[in-house]
Formats: sequence, C-alpha cells, structure tokens
Amino acid sequence: MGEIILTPKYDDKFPVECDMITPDNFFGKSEEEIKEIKLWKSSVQYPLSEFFDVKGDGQGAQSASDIHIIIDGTVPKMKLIGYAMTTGKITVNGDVNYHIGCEMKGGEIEVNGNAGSWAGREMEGGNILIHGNAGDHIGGSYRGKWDGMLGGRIVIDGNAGSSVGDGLVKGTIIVKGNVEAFCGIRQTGGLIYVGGNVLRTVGVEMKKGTIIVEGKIEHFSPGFFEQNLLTSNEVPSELYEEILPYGANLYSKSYVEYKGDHAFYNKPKGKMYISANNNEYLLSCEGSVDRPIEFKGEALKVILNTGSTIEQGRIIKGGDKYSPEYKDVCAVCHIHPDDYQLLGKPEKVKVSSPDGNRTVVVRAEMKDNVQRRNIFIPRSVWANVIVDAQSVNSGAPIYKGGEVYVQPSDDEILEAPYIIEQQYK
Amino acid sequence: MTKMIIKGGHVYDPLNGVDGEVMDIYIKDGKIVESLSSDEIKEAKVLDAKNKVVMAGGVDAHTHIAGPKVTVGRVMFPEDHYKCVRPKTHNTHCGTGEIVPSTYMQGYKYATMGYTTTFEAAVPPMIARHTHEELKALPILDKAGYLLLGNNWFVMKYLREGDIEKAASYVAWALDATKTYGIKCVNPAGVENWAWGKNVNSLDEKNIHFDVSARQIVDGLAQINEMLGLPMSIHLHANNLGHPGNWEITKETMDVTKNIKVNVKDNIYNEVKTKFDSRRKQSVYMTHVQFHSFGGTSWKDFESKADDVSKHINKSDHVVIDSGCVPFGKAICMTGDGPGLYDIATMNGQKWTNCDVELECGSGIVPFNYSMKNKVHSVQWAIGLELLLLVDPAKAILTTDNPNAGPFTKYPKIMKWLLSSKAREDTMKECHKWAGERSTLPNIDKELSLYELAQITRSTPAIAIGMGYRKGHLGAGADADVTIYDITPDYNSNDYEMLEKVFTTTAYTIKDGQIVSKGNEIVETPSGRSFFANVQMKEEIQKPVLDDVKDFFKYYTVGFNNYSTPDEYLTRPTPMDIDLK
Repeated sequence: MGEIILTPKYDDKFPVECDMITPDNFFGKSEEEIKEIKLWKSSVQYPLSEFFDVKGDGQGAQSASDIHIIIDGTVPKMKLIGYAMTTGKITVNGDVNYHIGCEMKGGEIEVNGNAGSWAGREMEGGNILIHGNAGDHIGGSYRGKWDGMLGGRIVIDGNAGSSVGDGLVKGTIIVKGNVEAFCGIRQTGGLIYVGGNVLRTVGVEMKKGTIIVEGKIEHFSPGFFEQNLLTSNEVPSELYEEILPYGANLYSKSYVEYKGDHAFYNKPKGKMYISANNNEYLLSCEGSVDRPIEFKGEALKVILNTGSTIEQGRIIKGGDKYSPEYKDVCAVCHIHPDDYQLLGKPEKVKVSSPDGNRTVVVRAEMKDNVQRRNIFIPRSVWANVIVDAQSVNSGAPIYKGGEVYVQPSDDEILEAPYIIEQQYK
Repeated sequence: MTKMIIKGGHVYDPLNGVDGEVMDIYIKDGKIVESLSSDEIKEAKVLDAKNKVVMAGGVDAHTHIAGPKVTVGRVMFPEDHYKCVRPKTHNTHCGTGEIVPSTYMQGYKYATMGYTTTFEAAVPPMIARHTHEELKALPILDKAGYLLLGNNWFVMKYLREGDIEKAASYVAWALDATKTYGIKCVNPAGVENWAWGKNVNSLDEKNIHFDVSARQIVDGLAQINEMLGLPMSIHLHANNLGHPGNWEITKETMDVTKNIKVNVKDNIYNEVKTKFDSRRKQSVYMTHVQFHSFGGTSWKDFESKADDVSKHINKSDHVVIDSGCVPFGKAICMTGDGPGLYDIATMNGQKWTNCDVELECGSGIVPFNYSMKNKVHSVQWAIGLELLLLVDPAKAILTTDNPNAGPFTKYPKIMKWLLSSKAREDTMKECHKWAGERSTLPNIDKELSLYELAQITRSTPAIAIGMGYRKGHLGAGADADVTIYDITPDYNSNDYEMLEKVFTTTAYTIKDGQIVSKGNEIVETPSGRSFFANVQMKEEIQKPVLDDVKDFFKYYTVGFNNYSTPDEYLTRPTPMDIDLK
C-alpha cells in the first residue's frame, strides 16, 4: 500500500539534489508522473527516471502518511532526500549524501547505511534512524544560521563527526558511537546522548539543554563547573525515558553533573552528565595534563598552531613578502623550553606532516608562552607547507591544532619564492 | 533620444502643487518638458496611465547599499542568501539575499519599487574606492555617497585648533578625493573614544586626545558645509543611539545648528523653476530619528518620546529628518557607530563585528531580528510611524535606514501603515501591548494622503539632498524619472494588503525617459549617474592643508597616490561644481 521502490542506476561523480523525493511530493502521482519529477544535477534539471528505476505509485494511498518510499540501493551522491517532508516514510538501503531529512517536519527516515553531513539539519519533527555512521553537523544548522534542530529525534547507531547538534533548540540526538569536536555547541535546549568517546569542546557555548557522555572525553571544555557526583539512579528519570526506547542506556555506575558554559554566560542552565568511571581524571585535582612525549625517530610529536603576528603584519603592509626581514620573523618555530631541551637545543628544526610527505625547515626559538608539546609558527609561506588541508567541513584548513613532527635539522631555510615554486608548481 | 507621453494618470507632484489632477506628462531627451510639438507627438511613445497614479521617481536619501560594511554584512549573514535566489534572465544578473541583497539585485528591487535615486549614507574615506566599485555595479539608479567625517583626525585636529578654514579646506579635498557628495557625521566625538573602549554621552563632553566635544564637531561641520556651499546639509547621526532617554540629547543636537545660515548656490535652481521653492532650507538633516526618540531611563520604563521630538522638529525650520522605521522581521544593523553597535551586540548575544578604519572612523555590524513579541521592538515600530504621521511632511523622509531597522524592500509595509489606520490597529493587536501603551500611536487617526506620501518619498528627500531642481518633481526641466502605480485616488484605505502590493511593484518605472521596469520585469538596465561634490579651493588655502595631509600618510597603510578614487570608478560622473577660487 503506497509503497514506491526507487532502484538507483546512477553512477556518476556529480551530486544530485533530491529534495523532491518526499512522501508529500509522491502522494497522488502516477508512476509516470513520479518518473517525470525534476531533479537538479549541477545547473541542469533531469527527470527522476534518469537516476532511478521507479516501481509503484502514489495514487493507491489514502494520504501522504501511507506513502513509503524505498530507495533500494546505495546512493552516495544523492543529497537532500526527504527535504522538509511532513509525513510518511523513506527507507534507504545504502549510503546517502548530505542533508538527508533536513528541515523535515514529520514522518520517518531510516538509513541502512551511512549518512553524510547535515543529516536532520534544522529539522522540526519526525524521526531519523541511521544504522551506520554519520558526518558532521548532525541535527545542526547550516552556514551562518544560529538555530539548529527545533524538534524530532535522530538516532545514529555508529559514530558521528564534529558539531553534532550545533545550535540544538529542542529534540533529541542519540549517537551510540563516538563523536569528534564541538558536540552541542551553542545548544539552547534538547538532549544529546553520546554512547562512545568525545574528542574535545563538548557543550561549548551552551546555554540550556542536556548532554550525556557515556565514554571518555579526550579534552574537557573549560567553562563547566562540577555540581554533583550522582549514581546512575540519581540521574533525572526523564532522561532515561528519552533514550531507553532507542537502544541507548546509562551504563556507568556514577556520573558527574556539570553546569555551563560559564565561559560564555553568567547564569547558564546547560547540563552535562559525564560518566565518572570513564573520566576519572575529571575528579582528580591535577587539572589538565600535558600531552605525552612521543618520539618517532628523532622527531617529537607536537600540536601545530599558526597565526598572524603583529610584526609580520607590519612588514606585509610595507608590501614585501620576499624580504629577508619577513623571512626572519616568519620562518621561525616557537618551542617550549622543555621541548627545546628534549630536542637538544637545535638552531634549526625540520617540521613535517604526520605522513612525512611535506616538510619545512625553520629557525627554532625557545619561548615559554607556548605549551609543552605545542609549537607556534607564524601563518605564512613556511607554515602553509605543513598546515593540514583537511577542513572538517569548515571551509578553512586546520591552522590551529593539527598534528606535526618536529626534529633538529641542519638543512638550509628556504626562501619564500623557492618554497612557493617547489610546492605549487 | 526617445519622446514619451504618459497619458491620463492622476499626478501627484507636491513641488508643483499638483494633487491628483488628471494630466499628461511629456518627456523628451530624458527630461520632463512642458509640451511636445505636433511632429514630436506623432513619433512619441504613449503610455496609458488611465486609472493609475503618477509620481516622480522615488528618492532614497539614506540607505546602505554599497561599501565594505555592506559586504561584511553579506558575509556575516549567509543564511539570508541561500533561500532567496533570483535567477539570471536575458538582461539581468542573478542574485541572492533578502536583507542585504547582492548589488545587482538591489538595483532591480529599488527600480521595481519605483525608486530611481539612492544615496549611500556612510562612506569611510579610505575605503571610498570599494564603495564606488560596488556602486558601479548598481544598475539603473542614480547614486552618490556621504563621507564619514564626524570623527576624522584632521577635522577634529583643526577644530581643536580653532582653524575652521583649514578644516573646510580638508573637507573639500576629502570630498574631491573620494568622489562623494556630502558630509556625514556619526556619533560625533564618540567613535573616536571607542578606540579606547569608551563613548561620549553628552554634547559637551570632550573626547580623549582631541579634546573636542560633539557640539563643537556638529557646529564646525555645519559651518564648513555652508562655507563651502555644499548641495546638502550635514547628515547627522546623533549621539546615544538606541539608549533609553536619548530624546533630550536629540533635541539639543538639533538646536546646535539653529543659527547657521544656509548657503545655497542659486544658479542651478534658477534654471529649473518649480511652483514651490525647491531650495534646501535645512542646516541639519537628522537621520533615523526613531532610534533617537527613546524616553525613560532604562528598558523597564522605556517609552516613545516621538510626540515631543516631532513638536520640536515642527517648530524648527532648520531641521529635516528621516524616520528609520522598524517594519519588524530580520534586519542587520550596520553603521559607523562602533560603540552604539557594541551595546546592541551585548544585548543580542549573537554575531557581531567591529572595525576601526585607520584613524578616520569606525563601524559595527550586528544581524538583528525585530520581533513583534518584543516590548521594545514594538515601541520602536510605533515611534517610526508616529514620527512620519506627526512631523510636517515637508520635513520628514520615509526610510528604514536600510538595512538597520529593516530592508528597503519593506518600505511598502510602512506606506501601508501610514496610509491606513486600520492597518496600524490590526498590527497593534498582533504585536506587544507596549506599542499602544507606551506611545501616542493609538491616538493618531491620521491617514497620509498620496500627496503627502509623494512628499515624504519624493519632494522632501530631493530638496534635502539639494536636488530639488532635478529630482522629486515632474515640472519641466526635471529628470524624467517617473513612477506609475496601479492604484486610483479613491482607493479604500481599509484594504491595506492591496496598498502594500501596489507599492511593492509599480506598473511602470521610468528612468531618464526610458521604461526600466514593467511590473516585476526589468525591461532595461541603463547605468545611473554618480553625483559628487567638486569643490575648487584657492591654492593658497589648500596648499598648507595638503602638506599636512601628505605628511600624515606615513601613518596610513595606503599611499597618497592610491588614496583618491579615480573617475574610472564612476558611472556617468556628474559633478556638482562649486568654485571658490
């Protein structure tokens, strides 16, 4: 009854905008009419039959809520499936691209595979179940927008990327696996449950709402104050009601209750329940721990931060990036005194990307304003060689926080024009 | 060039005292003419305006449509763009955006709304080039910019030294170098203090380092303005923008220029005669007075003081205002008032950016949402309308300070509220009750007539910017910028949705005698004129100032030769020549 099977036959590299694939749109249409629905591929519209074999129609159903669209195969290039749908069901037997179920108001989407970023972006109601992994900004907001998900529920069986539930206003996001950075950033309501581990910056800028973390938090956010140590029975029961029916649970014996983000608000009402068993370091008095000393051969593993310096700015405004003066202030690596000692007080160091493919030699300078196992190189020709091009969906490379290796070197510090020629020829 | 007859429309032309009379308008070579010869009539294009209203092209004397802050506004507000898209057509560019549309789209939208002249109200001197680059891409409209000088290093330096002649000479050089039209003054003395994280809160408070007060700067710039005989008066954004209780300083500020004699160059006005005098009468043009008519001492006892402020304006002949109405909904505040916008940003708690334009001026940008449920925003909505209803239409100009209180595309909403008291009543029922309780709006049953509407959108702004001889009227000799609205004078003001629709899209918009839009369709996209003041000073006065300026360039990040805007940046450059040699 009302079942429409779309078998994918598209095997090109261009993404296709499938915002018209919704039960609301298919309801009342014959098989021929469904085949004729137009989908955008780059700047041209093609009929749906170009991408899918269609079986079934939307005429037999009583209402759009009876429509069940089955995409029977993997569609890794299809975006915006179920855009703003209000009712009915969509099942995808495979992977999907960005924006599945974004702005949806009701109904259900089930993905038997992985989903791309922005799944359930700005959704207002309904359910999304993803049985595989998902990308970044799950239940979040699109570029520039302040509010993310406004209602509904997203359940992910696997892992998710960064910025899960950014700007979450209302609704529930359950990630049974791990998440990366900025989970629940700018949250003003709703609930995020993370069954696995968290990389860093969980709950930053949150004002209201709740985050539960079952696993280990690699780097805890600074703006959260500890409130209570609770046994799992003392965690508010309504939180259990939200997650138990979807195969998630509070597995730890005890939880630390935090309030925040005090770094952003005077009286924040955001709450975090963090598994105490998996994050014992949070309860110890030592606070933050230095990064471990890890050598690969002669090279020390460090975090690379780059940024423009005032001195550098002064010289550029004069106009010359190829001057010796510019090289002097930019081809330099600031190292913590302890690390400097570890490396044997080198005059020059070679900084390399983790895979060793990209290296640059710069002057070493001891500075106590960088942390241990961190280095700073002014953002310029030299630093750009080793900055990671991976952008975590932000549009900008990782200028700060990327991993690199640093070792003493006797090689020559190359001139800017030569580096540019070498790198970008 | 083309000849055209606009036949049988109801004409509203306040400067010539025409109030809805049925008459024909003749156009020849881009100008309005008295009549055409019988031969010319044969070849003229006839536009039937029967049962339609004919007005001069709209003049927006205060808008923000070009320059760095507008661009930054677009960058900060991507969510405004991805859902509002205009596809490319055979003769128009594509575009995006609703609150801060892309440049081409702004031109098209203004034209289909019946506006043909727009003045960008804040050009930072150093970034004038950028502003002109963008204005160059603005299709159809005639345009010009006001130069931010209220916190300028040299202006303040010379005023402190009491050397007004040197200050005037600097202003003349700056206007010429940046190809701008008039003097803009934003939060005088206060923006300079913002460099130290401070502001000024009264007229007589001296600022840091320069030791000049807002009063000195306003008075000085107004005097300079008349010494040079610039086409328009100073354009003044007063101190304490958006602070409860600022209505008093607003009134005080208006009085500063009370005794300054207006100096208008008569020659251009003598060429084109209108029935009523079209010469500029004001010595100060107070802008977005809505933001400056706040009563109370805090947001708790906040109220409208628009009636007091209006009374003060009505009895001050040297003042013209624009309203800065709030039409509700999304907006983006962008102004040269850095500290003012910091205050808004701390209330708002969302995105904010701030900029210091190298010793010349500053700016701040904050995306904003005026909500009907919000107490303060509802009162602000009421204040804007009160001002336009209470102030003499010969002294008031309709604006939203686009896009600060709302985008210019919402002008038709404001017109609807002005023309229909029922529209106001219905909105008052919807918005927060403070709108009615804390303003006098419920007691005003006045409805503007089409004649008065033509005043606040055509003749008054045209006179205020010193263009009364060529813009804002339909007498012989005026530019043939004409708007034809699909409405008859006997409209039913209770049917306000119809009013909004009529003013949103004209039947025809004519620019320089050429039909540029017909309904929503853009027919032609000619380039508009770039107006700028071209002041020629005596060499011996200019020289020492220029030496000072050149010396100062060692502190700038741009060289002296790269500072000025060349003529290539202008479309159809139209200088307003002022010879003081």
